[in-house]
Amino acid sequence: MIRPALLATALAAAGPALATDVTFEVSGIEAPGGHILVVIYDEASFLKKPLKAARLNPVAGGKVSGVFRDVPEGTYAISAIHDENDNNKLDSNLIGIPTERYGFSNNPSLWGAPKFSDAKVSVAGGTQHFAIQLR
Amino acid sequence: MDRRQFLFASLAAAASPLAMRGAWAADTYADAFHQATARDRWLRAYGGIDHDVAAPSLRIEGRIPAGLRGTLYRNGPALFERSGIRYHHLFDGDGMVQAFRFTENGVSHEGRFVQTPKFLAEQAQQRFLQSGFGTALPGLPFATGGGLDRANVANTNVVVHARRLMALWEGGSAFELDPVTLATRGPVTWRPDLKGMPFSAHPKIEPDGTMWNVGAIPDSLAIYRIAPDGTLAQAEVLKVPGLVMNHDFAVSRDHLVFVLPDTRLDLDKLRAGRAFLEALAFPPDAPMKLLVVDKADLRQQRTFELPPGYLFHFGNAWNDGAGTLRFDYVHHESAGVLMDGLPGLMRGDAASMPPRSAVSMQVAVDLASGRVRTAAMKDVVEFPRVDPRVVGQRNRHLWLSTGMGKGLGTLMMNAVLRYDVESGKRDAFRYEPEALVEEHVFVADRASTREGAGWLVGCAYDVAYGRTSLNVFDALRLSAGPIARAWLPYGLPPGFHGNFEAA
Repeated sequence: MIRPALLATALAAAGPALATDVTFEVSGIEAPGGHILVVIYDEASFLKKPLKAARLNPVAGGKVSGVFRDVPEGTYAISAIHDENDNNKLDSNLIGIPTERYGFSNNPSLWGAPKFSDAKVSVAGGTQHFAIQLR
Repeated sequence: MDRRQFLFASLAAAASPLAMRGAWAADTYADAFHQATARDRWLRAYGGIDHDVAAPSLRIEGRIPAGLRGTLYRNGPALFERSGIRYHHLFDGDGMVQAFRFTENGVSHEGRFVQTPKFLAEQAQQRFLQSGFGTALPGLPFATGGGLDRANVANTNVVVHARRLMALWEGGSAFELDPVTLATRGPVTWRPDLKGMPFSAHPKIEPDGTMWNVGAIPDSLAIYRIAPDGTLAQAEVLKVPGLVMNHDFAVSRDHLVFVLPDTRLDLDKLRAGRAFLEALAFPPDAPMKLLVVDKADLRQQRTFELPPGYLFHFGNAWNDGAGTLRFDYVHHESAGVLMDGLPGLMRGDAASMPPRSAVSMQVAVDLASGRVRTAAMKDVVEFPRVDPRVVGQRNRHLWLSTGMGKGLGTLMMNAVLRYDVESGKRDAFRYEPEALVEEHVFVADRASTREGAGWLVGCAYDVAYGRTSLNVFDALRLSAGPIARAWLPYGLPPGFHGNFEAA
């Protein structure tokens, strides 16, 4: 239990962090299979280590929504992928183009991998809601 | 408008002419084009078509040769407007495949749109849902997370390989069609990990039936080798730093040959919603890079320099057995046709289409010393083709489309041309004064094995008549004129590329 204790200490040391519920809605789902994987990152962990993750059943032609609870105030980015074959990753073809649909908070252009700054959103006070369009 | 507002508007216009022109252009392509067609009748060929067409029996002048039996497949952009919005670039139009069938009973024609997901979705809603290569439509994406297949218009070439008919584009998958009905079967996935990859529009089929093709994304070049039976034999991705796009290439016995103009892509412009074309830039006077890849080991690559310019197409390449690689391509003086000429065509702005210098360039590369020699021919040309029996081998004949007479550039070609590249002799035929001549395709006469024995077949749009003709020449006697002409009862938008499949 050393690591959670350290984390709690670190959070406490950072000051009175207010926690917020972050709700999200993912649209642009085309196929029925697999799962929608939604992940929230901060700048340091962006595309490396999820802070929180959700796994949702897709609704073809529809939208799914969920919530990350108790997210401390701060700046984050949310990614969503439609993991159609349930291998827990975004598949790419040989030349490196993703072959499953994905999207980010802010719905940035998908020319090249987005930077954290392209996808970043502020979380502060009350409930925050973000809509992500898969492409 | 009061005086202050008027002054402000004038100042703003003077201060940012480009911005003003851009804003104007974005809204008025359709109106400007349709007004221009009253003045420049030839533009009507590019008005587009919005439905499939068929003519079971074409009116024929002359005699179709008895040995000419089979189907000429052609492809090109054909639908340019929906709900009053006109594409800003010729390359954006939806692909329509033409089949001209030569049988004992004469010649028939059928034209069908390729049923890409993009075309089907836009047909259903009767409006554009996707930005194009050269047209940024507000709020509508071009690329998506899954690559470019969502924008695939399958409009550039059509090829038959191992009895599989495929409509090709540059940025995404080939679309397989039924060779008889032209119905679309769907995108071709050569192997699961190649799904959605670019499979370009100019594959090369060697005489043994091996088909090579490429596909480019920034900094990466995919190479495909398809066996004569239609199965994938090899697929690799090469890192090519600085590569942005690649339209065509050539194969010789030993090599794959690429010519890469110095091309810059501004990702920030793309992210800001500009069209792909608008994010391109070509530094003036930068030499082109010649990339030579060993077919036997794709990691063996050499680079050389070619004069500054731009290109779309190659004719052929061959190794002379004494260490020299020879090839030809059509050398444009700049990327002006791509960047200004084709957008100008779409808004009917003849002033933006000055005649462009584009000439056949004959290149010899001494692979040991690295010495590169170039020799430019004189005619303004495009669409080089050779006898398919000599692809990758020494060729004597090269067929091209050309513009004869004053003021004609590669956008308004009116003649066909053959070079005897050994003797330097030329053999040409000029169509009626106002004709728009497409790529003409060489068809081998199987009664002979001699290079050049066969016919040259291709379409020309007659401006005065408003109709398209399909023309057959003795491939070695173009100057004698067509030996047969088959007239369609309608005009077709001038297409890009095609191939003949013998019966």
